[in-house]
Parts: sequence; C-alpha cells; structure tokens
Amino acid sequence: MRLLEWARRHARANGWGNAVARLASGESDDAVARATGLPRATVVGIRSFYDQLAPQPSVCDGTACHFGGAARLADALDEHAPTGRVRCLGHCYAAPAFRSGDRVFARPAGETPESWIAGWGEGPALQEDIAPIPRLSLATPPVVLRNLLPGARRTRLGEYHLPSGVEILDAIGAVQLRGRGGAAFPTAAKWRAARDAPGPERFVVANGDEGDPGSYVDRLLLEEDPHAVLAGMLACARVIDARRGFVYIRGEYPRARATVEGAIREARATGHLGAHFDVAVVSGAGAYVCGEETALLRSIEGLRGEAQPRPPYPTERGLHGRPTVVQNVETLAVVPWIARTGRRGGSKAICLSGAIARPGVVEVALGTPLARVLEEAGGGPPTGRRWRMALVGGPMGRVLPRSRFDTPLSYEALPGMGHAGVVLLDETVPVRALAEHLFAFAAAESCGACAPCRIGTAQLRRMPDRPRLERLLDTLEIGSLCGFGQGVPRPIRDLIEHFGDEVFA
Amino acid sequence: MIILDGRPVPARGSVLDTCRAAGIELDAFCHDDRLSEGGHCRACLVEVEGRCMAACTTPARDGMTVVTVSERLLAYRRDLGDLMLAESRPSGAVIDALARWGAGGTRYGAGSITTPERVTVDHSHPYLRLDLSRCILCRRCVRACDEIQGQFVYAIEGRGSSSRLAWGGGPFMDSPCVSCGACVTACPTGAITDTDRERPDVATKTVRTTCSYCGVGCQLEVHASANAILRIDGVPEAAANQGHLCVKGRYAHAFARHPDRLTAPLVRRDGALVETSWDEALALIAREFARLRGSLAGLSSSRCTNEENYLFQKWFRAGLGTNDVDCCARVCHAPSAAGMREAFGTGAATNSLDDIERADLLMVVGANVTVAHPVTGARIKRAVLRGARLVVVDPRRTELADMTDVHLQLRPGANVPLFNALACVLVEEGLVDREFIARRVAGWEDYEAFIRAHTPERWEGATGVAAERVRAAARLYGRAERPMMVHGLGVTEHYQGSESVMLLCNLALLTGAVGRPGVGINPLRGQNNVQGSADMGCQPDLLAGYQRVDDSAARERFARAWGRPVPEAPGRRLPEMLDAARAGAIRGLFILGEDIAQTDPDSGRTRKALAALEFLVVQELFLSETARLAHVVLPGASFLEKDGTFTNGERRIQRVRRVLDPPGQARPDWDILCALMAATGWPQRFENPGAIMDEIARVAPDFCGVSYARLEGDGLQWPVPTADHPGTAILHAESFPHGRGKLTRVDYAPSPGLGPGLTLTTGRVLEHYNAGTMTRRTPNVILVGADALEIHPRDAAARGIADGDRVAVTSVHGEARAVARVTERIAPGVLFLSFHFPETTTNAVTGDVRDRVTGCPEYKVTAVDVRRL
Repeated sequence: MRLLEWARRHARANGWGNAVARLASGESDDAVARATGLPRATVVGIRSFYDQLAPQPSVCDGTACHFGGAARLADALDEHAPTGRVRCLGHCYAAPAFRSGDRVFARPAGETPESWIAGWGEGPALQEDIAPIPRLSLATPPVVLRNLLPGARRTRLGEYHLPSGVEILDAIGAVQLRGRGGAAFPTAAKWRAARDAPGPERFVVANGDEGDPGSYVDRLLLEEDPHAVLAGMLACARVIDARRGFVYIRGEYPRARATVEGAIREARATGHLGAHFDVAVVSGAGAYVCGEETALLRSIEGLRGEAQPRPPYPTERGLHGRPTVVQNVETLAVVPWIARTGRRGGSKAICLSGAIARPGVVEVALGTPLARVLEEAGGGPPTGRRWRMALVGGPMGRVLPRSRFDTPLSYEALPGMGHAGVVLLDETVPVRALAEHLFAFAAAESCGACAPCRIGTAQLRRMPDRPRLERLLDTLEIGSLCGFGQGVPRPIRDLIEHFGDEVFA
Repeated sequence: MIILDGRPVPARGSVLDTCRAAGIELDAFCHDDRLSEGGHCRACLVEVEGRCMAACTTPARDGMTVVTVSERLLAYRRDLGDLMLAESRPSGAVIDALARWGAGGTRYGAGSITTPERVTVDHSHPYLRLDLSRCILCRRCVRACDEIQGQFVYAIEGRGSSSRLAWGGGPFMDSPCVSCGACVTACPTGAITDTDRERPDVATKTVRTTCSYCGVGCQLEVHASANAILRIDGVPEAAANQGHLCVKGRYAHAFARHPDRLTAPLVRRDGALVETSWDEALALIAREFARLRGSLAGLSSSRCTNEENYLFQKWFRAGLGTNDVDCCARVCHAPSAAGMREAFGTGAATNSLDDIERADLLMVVGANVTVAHPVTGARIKRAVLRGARLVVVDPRRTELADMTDVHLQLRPGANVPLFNALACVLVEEGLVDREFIARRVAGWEDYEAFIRAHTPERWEGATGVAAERVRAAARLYGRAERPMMVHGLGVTEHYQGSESVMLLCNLALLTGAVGRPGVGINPLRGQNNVQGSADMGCQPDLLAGYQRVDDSAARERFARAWGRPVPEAPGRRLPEMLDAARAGAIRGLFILGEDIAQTDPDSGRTRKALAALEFLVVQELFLSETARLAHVVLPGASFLEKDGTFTNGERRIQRVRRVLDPPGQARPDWDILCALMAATGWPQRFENPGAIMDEIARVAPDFCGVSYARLEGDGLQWPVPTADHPGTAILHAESFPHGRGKLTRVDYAPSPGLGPGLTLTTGRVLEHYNAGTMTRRTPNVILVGADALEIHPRDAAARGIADGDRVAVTSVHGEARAVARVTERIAPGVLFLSFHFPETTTNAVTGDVRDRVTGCPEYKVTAVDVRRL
C-alpha cells in the first residue's frame, strides 16, 4: 500500500515522527499533517481510530471491572462529570478502576464497590491505585517473576551477561520456548526467520499492548522489571542483528511507559543501550486490535492500527517494511534466563481477578490444573460466593464452567487460553450477561478493516437468535482477516457448549 | 502445479490469479489488477488444504489443493452477502454477485446497522458523485487514489462498524481531489461514480483515440452515441497512460457539442462576421491569396494532426511559394528542439515515458508536471512513492516540490547560472564519467576550465539558491545510477532558453546520463502535437523530418515528391511574422487553430500586427479572440471529429480516430486544407489522412516505416527508418547522430526583461488548457472559473493585498486583472498568473524579450508591479 510508503518516506525524513504521538500530545490535525507530511484526511482517519486521542476520564469496562461494579462507578462519577469507557486498565485485581490523565484509581483493598462509592461523601474520593500488584509463584524456580518476588534482587540490563546470538538461539530452540502473548508460536523459529530475511536493517518490537481484560502480568513486568524486557530485546537483537528496538506500550499503562523510559535512560547512561542497539518507547492510544502484530506495527508507524493480511509476515516485511520480530513482553522477560541457564522455562504467569479471594499474578508450571491455581494461589471464591465459570485468556479466549476447572492450563489442553488472564465469575452473573459483554467488546474493538468482523460483530451486539448466531460465528471464524475476528467465536462456542440456551435466555 | 477444484493448473501469483487464469471467476470486490491487495472484503474466500483463506492475499504455491466451491463456502458467501446488505446497499458488480450468492438482505435486515454518516450523498463536485450508503468499504478508491494518482484524498474514518469512507471533512469539492476519476474506475458498488456514468444514454460505439489536451498522448476509449460523447475511459494497456487519465482527458469533452461551436464559414461584411457558404469562403481566400502572393504567412497548430501540419507547410512552401510558415511550437519548445539538437544531434526526448519508472533519480526542471501533464505527473509521484529520489528546480513550490529530496527554488531567469553551478559541482567533486566523456563527448578540455569558475557560491546571489542545496542536488544527480531529467517551459521560455537546454544536456553528457533505460533528458511537450507539428516541418527553416530548407538536396527531394519547387530562403518565425505584419511586409496571414491574440506575449503588439493585416484567415472551433479579428473564419473539427495522428512527447506517433461528425458545415481540417490547396491552384489527391501519412513516409527518413496499418495499438516511436523497424524507445544508445555529444559553454546574460521589483511568471492550471477555448466550455469552469494571481504573503502585505482581492498587474507593456491568491507556494518577489481566461489579459503584460536562439518568447520573466483594485 503506497500510503504506507509515503508515510515511511516522511518518517525517515522527519526523524521517525509519529502522527499518533503528535495527536496524543494535543496537536491539531492540520499541524500533524504539516509535520508528518501525511494528507489531512489520513490524519483525521488516524485520530478517529484511537479511543484515547480525545482525553476524557474513563471507567474501565474490562471483564473484571464490568462484573465488578464498573456500571455503578460510572453512574456515580457521571453525576459529577461525564466519563468515557476504556478496556482495560490492568487493575483487574482491584476492580472497578478508573483513569484520569496518567493516574489510575481503583477500589481500595478491603472495600466493596458499594462501600467504596457510599463512602465518598460530597464528591468522588478517589485514591490513586499505587498498591503493588499481588504476586506469587507456585513454580520452582520462578522464571517470569524471578526478579519480582519478595527478597529478589532487581537485575540491571548491564548485569545480564548474554551469550552470543547463536548460543541464544540454540538455547531458546532447545527448550522450545513458545510466545506467551497468546499465539504460542515457537520463538526460535520466528527469530530465525527474521535473521534470515533479506533487508538493510531489522527491528525488535516488544509487544506491550496487553489488551486482554484480565491480564496484567505485562504491566507488572514493564513497571517493575523493565530491565528483563530490555535484556530480552537485546538478546533478540543479537540473534537477528538488529540495531533498533521499540517497546510498544498501550496507552492504558501510563506508569509502565515512565518506568521503561527510565530503564532505557539508565541503560544508555551505563553504555548498555545506544551504541550497538537502542530502544525507544512508543505509546498506544487505545485500540485493542493493536495487540495483533500487524496492527501494532502500523500503530508504531503512526497510522491506523488495522490488521494486515499475512503473508507477508513481519519477519519478512514488518516495521517500515523491514524484517521485524514482534514479541510479547513476558516472552522477552524469560529469554535472558533461558539464555543464561539453558533450562526449560516451562512456567507461565497467570493473572487472577474477578470473584476470587486473593487476586493477583501467579506463576505456575504449564499444565497445572486451573482448580489448583484457584485454590492454592487464589484462596478460592470470596466468602459466601459460588463460581459459575471462568473466562480464560480474555475476550478471544476460553470459557470454562466450574465443572471443568480441573482443566490443565497448557496450550495443548486449553488451546486459545492466550495470555491466560483468568476472570472468575460467580453465580450472580448470568451466562447471557457474559455473552453480551463479549459481544459489546468485540463490536467496540473490531478495527473494521474486513467485512465479516466489522459487520459481524455489529450483528452480534444486536444479540441474534441461536441459528443466526451460530451462522455468524462460522462466518467470523473462517472469513475474518486477523485473529481478532477469528477469535471472537471461541468463548461463545464454549458458552453454547456448556450452557446451551441459557446464553439466549 | 496446484490442484484447483480437482484439476491440476499452473500456479501463478496469488490463488486468485491462478483461479482466474484457469477460468474460474471468483468474486473479489476489493481486488483490482492495478492495485495492491487489501484483503478487506473477504469475498474471494476459498478452501486451501481445507482451511479457508482469501484467494487474493494467499500466494499460490506448488502442491496446494484449492477448492472454490463447497457447502461451507456457499453458506459463507451467502451470509457475507447478507451482512453486507445489513450495512450498505451496493449497486453495480457487487449487487450482481450478492444476488448470485443468494443473499437477499433478509437474514440480518437490510440496512439494519447503517450509521447516519453512511447515508451521505455528495453532489458538490461537477463530475464526481458520492453516495456512501452504497459503499462496502472495499477501499479500492482509497488505494486507486493513493497508488495511481498519489493524491491521498480518501481515508477511512472511525473504527469498526462506524468506519466510513472520508475525505477529511466538508463537501467533497473542498477535498484535495484532482478529479482524475481513478476512484470512479475502481469503485465496484456505485458509491463513487460520475456525471457521465449517470447518464441514461446507451453508447452505440467505442473508439480508441488520442487525447488532445497535452503532450502525454493518453489513449482514450471514447464511448459515444450517434451524436454525443457519453463517457471517456483510459485504454488500460496503453503505454502512454496505462489506463489513467486526468480531469481534462476524462471529463472535459462537453466543448465538442457546445453551442458556441462554429458551424459555418464566416466572412466579414460591413465590419461584422456573417455566415457564408464554403464555396464563397474558399473563393474569397483564393482571390485574396492570389492578390497578396509574396506577402503571405501561415501559422499552423500544434493541436492539429501530423497530416494537417504536413499539408499546411506543403501548401505554404510549394503552393503559396513561401517558407514563412511556423507553428505554436515556436512559443514553447522550440528551444528544447534547438538546444538538444545542438548537444545531441536530435531535438527530441531521449527516452520513453515508461523510463520514469526505471529511473532512481528524477530531476524535474521548470515543469509543473502534475498540473500541465497530469498523467505523467502521477507517474512521477508513483516513482517517488516507490523510492526514487526527486529534485525539483522551480521558482514555485509545486506539488512535486512537496515530495522532493531537494527543491531548488531559484529566481525566475536564473537558469543559466544555476545549471552551470550544478555542472561545476559535478566537475569539482569528481562526479563526472570520464570514460563516457572520452568516448562520446566533444569540448571537454575547454569546458573544464570554464565550468570550474561557476561555483554555486559565486552564483548564490543571482539564483537565490543556497550553495549547499545546489551541491546536494548535484550530488544526487551525479551519484544516481539512473538519473532522468524532465523539463518544461520553465527552461525554454526564456531569453537564454535554448542555451539553458544545452546546459541541461551538459549535465547529462558530463555524467554519461543519456542513452540508457531510465536515463536521459525529456522535454514535456505542452500541446498534444508540439512534437509532431515540428516533425512535420511547420518551421520556417526545416522541412518535414528536420531536413533543412537551405539544403539543396533536401529541397530537391521534396520538389521531386511534390512536383513543385520549394523556396530556398528560410522563412520568418512567428514573432518575426508579427513584426513583418506591423511593418507591412506580411499582408495576409492564415492561422490554423491558434489564438495568438490571447496566448502570444505582449498582446497589445500582437493585436496591432493582426489589425495591420489586409487579410486574416482563422480556422477554428470557436470564435476565439483571434478569430474575432479575422476576415474569414473557417469552421474546423475537433480531435473527436477527424482521423489522423498526434506525436506525443516521447516521439510516439498515435492514431486519432473520428468518433463524431463535425457539427453543421464544419469539416475535418485536413479536408479543409485540401480544399484550400485546390482553390489556390494545387489540387491534392488524398482520400484520407492515411494517404497523407504515406506521403510523409516517402519524404521524411525518420518516418519511412510509418503507415496507418502499423499504428494500431500504441503506435510507433520515431525514428522508424524501415517498414519492419519496431520504432525507437531510447535515443543515442550507442552514438549521437552528429558524432560526439557537444558540451556548450554559456555565460549568464541576464534577461532584459528583469526589473528591480516583482517578477511575473506565467503558466497553466490543471483544469484548463492553454487559451481555455475548449476547457472553458466544459464544467471545468466550475472547478476553476478564473485566473488567479499567486503572490507571497510578504509582497501582498506590503501592498495591502488580501487573499481574494481584485488586483491589477502592470508592466511597461500593459495591464492584467485577476483575483489575488496569497500563498507561500510562491517565493517573495515572484508572482504567478495563468492565461486561460481572455478577460484576464495576462499576455497584455508579458513582453517582447525572446530566446536568443529560436525567438521563443520569454513568458517566464516580466518585470511588473501589482496593486489592489
């Protein structure tokens, strides 16, 4: 597409100026058009794609918040000033949450949504949610959380002694590391493809667009262990011979941006970034689909974050048309450990939220049954409540009814578990309410680039009857351009399988 | 091989390509052979190894098994169709396909999710019609605009189901659209269409012909009824335009049936022009021309065909006994021909337009290509978008200047010092090709010492261009593997016009940048047949095929072919004819299809010359400013009403074919010329223009192999020395016709037209063509209805002029009036004014300075002042 070439040409000439960043900083459409060389209509199109370029205080409507009092919070706040919606802020363990500017507010520990709101008095009494994300490891040794558990020492980028590119690739190949972002693609194969693709330069991109409601481990890593992510990028750069990397951090994670930028500054100051490999942070601006790698790359280029047909894969033609590895944050964070130890990193961070006594991030060995995680780490349901089901892996993930909580958490036993955020829903949540929530999410976040997903999700939102719904799910699944539309049917099919007509009740 | 629906077929390109090649038609709404793939509509889904994939974006690989029809696919297609009908109400090819799929719109409710923004219907544009309720968001229009025209008018606004086609807000008329119509040709739903396509009339014929609006030579497919042009499309496979057209070629055809058309000969009686018969008009001309023999001159037209131009000079030279014959090439590209002939031995473009796509650096000098040669302009934009570097040399920040690596915004009239400075950098910095110079170039020894003195630093003051920028441009040119230069009237229409062309040739000779694919120098011919009218000998010193009239062997050849002698002395050029008219030496003048009263410089003097004539004949489509002054006006035919050939700027001879009959008693111009020759005593035996071409082939060596039979399709690029010669795409590959290429030393001689104050430069706008006689009689006047004076904000402020004010531009020659457009696209100290509307009287202001070599007027430099009215 030639517009892309045009944008790239201008980007090169303007020091990789980025229309999305300029719009986010409050520049007018005309000013952005002048500065980037993009046509004005294109700039207007970009602005209209992202939710957060018109800054407005927003209530989180991610799954945990949605079923955790978001509507009541929004009603209470709207009495004072109108709020928008955001999906999701990654404070699922303290739902409901709310964002104003760069600050996130959430329900304080020990309060219920009702008691919290009732206690406001005259106006909203909001406290910034700066409490640390709860974390725990059931895996030994912990890998993802190795630097984040009580007593652990933070490792600076300079303290990672990474082996050569060949050795790194051998190591991650030997342990069969698979991407943790959801697709579970073999990491070594991806890096090898990028290394072998012809191109004048190559890029490493850390995918920090953790959009799945119910997941917040990437936020934890970005905010508290950014050096591990940078070390993973450095390892990848060594393998594929990249000189530049980008950390794409979703706009909903303002604090993560600050800490990653701080870590980059520090690493540059000590000479560990900058000379051979340098990294820049790019902020998202509110569009779930940007977690999809081709959409993410468009977003980094400052354009509408729309999914693109593959092939070509980013490893052949990615960022600015160059071979690019797009890798999830959690995957990158474990690479240095694997590269150093050569050991099998067979664990995965699971995020627990919703109706659970002790929400938080828990690292478990892949294959651990969900029930064990819920009991040992999560402490079971909150007192007096009974689970109905769990949504695993976000809105394109899986639904497990309570009767199936013995399912092992692994890519084989639970395909589609994705990034493995687990939102527990108790018996107060009707099955239909979850379906409607998922449909609303799909319709709100479809990028619109392909017809089945654009129109199909809009039809889902109108809650069709069962024959139409089942027809639509087929159409979405086989016809959609990217994993978003193809994935929308996945949890719905589970709901229908396990709950039948209750979905339509 | 792949197994396609059970049978093995060769894999080619995508699965979609493979299916189509195998005769399996898949509906693919967002696919367009001309464009990149979008994968948006998902209509072309097939099963590949049992998995559903979009055929358009899936590469065909050997060993694949592809199924295009299955129960699952049929059910999917019907559902997709129903979904599409829930969103929009397409017409055209899409609705036919949806019906075939069995989609009726009942499953989800027709229009059930249509958003309010999607019911927008836009009628603001004179040609384009937009109805977003029909849009299925296939984005072919977006990609057509981006990838064919490089205009980026369209974008998608909103996300998900609120996505819609947009053009930046406001009525479509306010968008940056250039009305090329590429989106219209791409739209499969009827969401974007045009006034021509909305007509109910049914075409009874479709004729391929050549556009008459500029020297690009676009191939048209004209759809017509018995007596009207209904619609014009580009010929998809044509070399000159690959199916693309501009607002003039595609839409500005209403002039052909405009009520202002001349439909009968006119003669002046009692001061007024009144209708008369052909017999009477021809008899009168014969009588007057006999009386005035010895003081006659003729001006031919670069808008007319080769055959007409050939006949015209034949008539004047051998029939009326004078070499006083010239044409409007004189006032545009005569310096290109002269300068390039001096340097290279041939006065024509060295390459083909195709080569623009092969170049890795394009240097555009004094040409506003996207305006004056829009289809070539789009080609340059496409090349730049694909990664070619671009240098623009122009006093105005043109559209192409926005895309440059380096824009040299020089002062008007400073071409010579700037071009010398570029050459100096090439020599100083070792960017010359010594091997090429040693082998093929003459004059290097003297030249080297001369040019080293012309540093960019030395000429900074004269050119107004920072030395560093000149160096940067020279480095880009010198280091490029395939540098290609294109130039326009900003080079030629100057006091040192021909010399400036020679200096451009110097750059090519120094770097060996000529004679290869993607490498050379190409003048962009202004009018459709500037190349041809000069080729055909409508020049006072050159016979058809550039044979010198003072060469007795050449004269002898023509005299034998014609059976009549050719006068020996070279004749007068156009400006000299007018001088002679004022002096009484020329008393009778025949003007074919030119409006010199409006378009020639210093129109006060031009009008005086015309008024001094005893007998003026004008052959025209309309009663032009010049025709109003004539004693006899003959009604000619437009290019849509006659047969013949035009030769475009890449030397490509292409057919012009009759689509309509001329209105009333109007006649094809070649036919009128035959009648005039008969009336003046020299009957010709040409049954048709093809017979004229046969005679041309006999007398002009470069055209020996040309015949109408060989001009089907894309025609031939001359030289075509023999009947089996394929034509010549690239000149000077091995050698120059006159031996070695010639380096020319030229010193800067500032134009006498320069003054201390403001400098006016003139040119065209996209929507109008030259005198505007044709385009002003089309809806193009809704797009642009007046000439505008471009003025820099600083100069405007100093004179209290605001955007939109009426202003008067004055020079020692006269005054022009226009509306001011205050813009930073023009440099301080420079004004720009077009000359399309007679009421502006732009050429009352321009002066009498001429190119020192060819006499081409200096339209590009006039000392003026401007004031608010």
